[in-house]
Amino acid sequence: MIVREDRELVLSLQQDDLDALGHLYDRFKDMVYRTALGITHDPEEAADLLQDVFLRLYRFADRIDPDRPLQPWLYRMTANLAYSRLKRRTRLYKRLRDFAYSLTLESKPAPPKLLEQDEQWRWLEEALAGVPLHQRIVLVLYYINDLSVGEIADILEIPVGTAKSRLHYGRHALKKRLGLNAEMLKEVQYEIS
Amino acid sequence: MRYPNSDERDPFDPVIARALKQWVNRHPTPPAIKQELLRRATLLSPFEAGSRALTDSLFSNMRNAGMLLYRLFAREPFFASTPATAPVNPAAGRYLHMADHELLYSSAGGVGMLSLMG
Repeated sequence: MIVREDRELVLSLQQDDLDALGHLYDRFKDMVYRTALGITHDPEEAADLLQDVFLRLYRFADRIDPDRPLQPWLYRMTANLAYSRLKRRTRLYKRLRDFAYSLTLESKPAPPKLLEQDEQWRWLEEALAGVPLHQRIVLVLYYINDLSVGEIADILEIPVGTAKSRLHYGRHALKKRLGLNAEMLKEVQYEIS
Repeated sequence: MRYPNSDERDPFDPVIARALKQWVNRHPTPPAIKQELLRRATLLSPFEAGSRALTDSLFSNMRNAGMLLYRLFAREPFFASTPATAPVNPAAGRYLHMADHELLYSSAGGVGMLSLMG
């Protein structure tokens, strides 16, 4: 199977080639979805964002420079769209969702062990969701996507110092919410080694 | 407290990274999205093409209208004349004056032919 380069695919996309869109989707879908999920902590919202990002890639293909890497553009679009959506989400909407979620839990009781695991993951989700949005985006790009601070600054079009600062305060907030403290450090280091 | 802009790495970084990666990996990318994406893109394509054609046509017509006005009323290049310059054709003077003024004004505002149509 011939692997088409990103540049070639973007050029084809600029000629309204839907096949190229499919190839780019296959190549980058997981990256976009993971990023969207990390920021929104909502699989449905992340799925909507995934589709939206690639539709915009198709619509605005003629504005993309094929000689530059496509990944930063996709990260930027994902972060920007996620940011706009979450800002629009009202408190009332969130309450309704939580209410609906509690109803779902009540109607479908899960096995105790599964429920316990789910609670742990929910705890992590809630800890991440509690981090301010602009810091959360940096955390997601840093920890989930393994990007450097310089790359994050470039993607978000912010100074490197700002990216470092957001990482610092975001990490601090997340650790506080997860209850990670110096006393646990020895245990953690032992586990890693 | 440490300076927040430092290049510090936190001892908990591997733990946080692993936890977050495991969490997102619990949610695989939904498989049905690709078909829906391509379907919506297919619908988008003629609309976008139509929209581009409409825009091109609109600007083309505006440019043609501008050229027509110029040929009908102007005796001098638009930007060389001023509102104080008397038009050669008195009947057309008002239009020339207005067009001239509008063009001078719009050229400063950077909106080109749009004000001519207005």
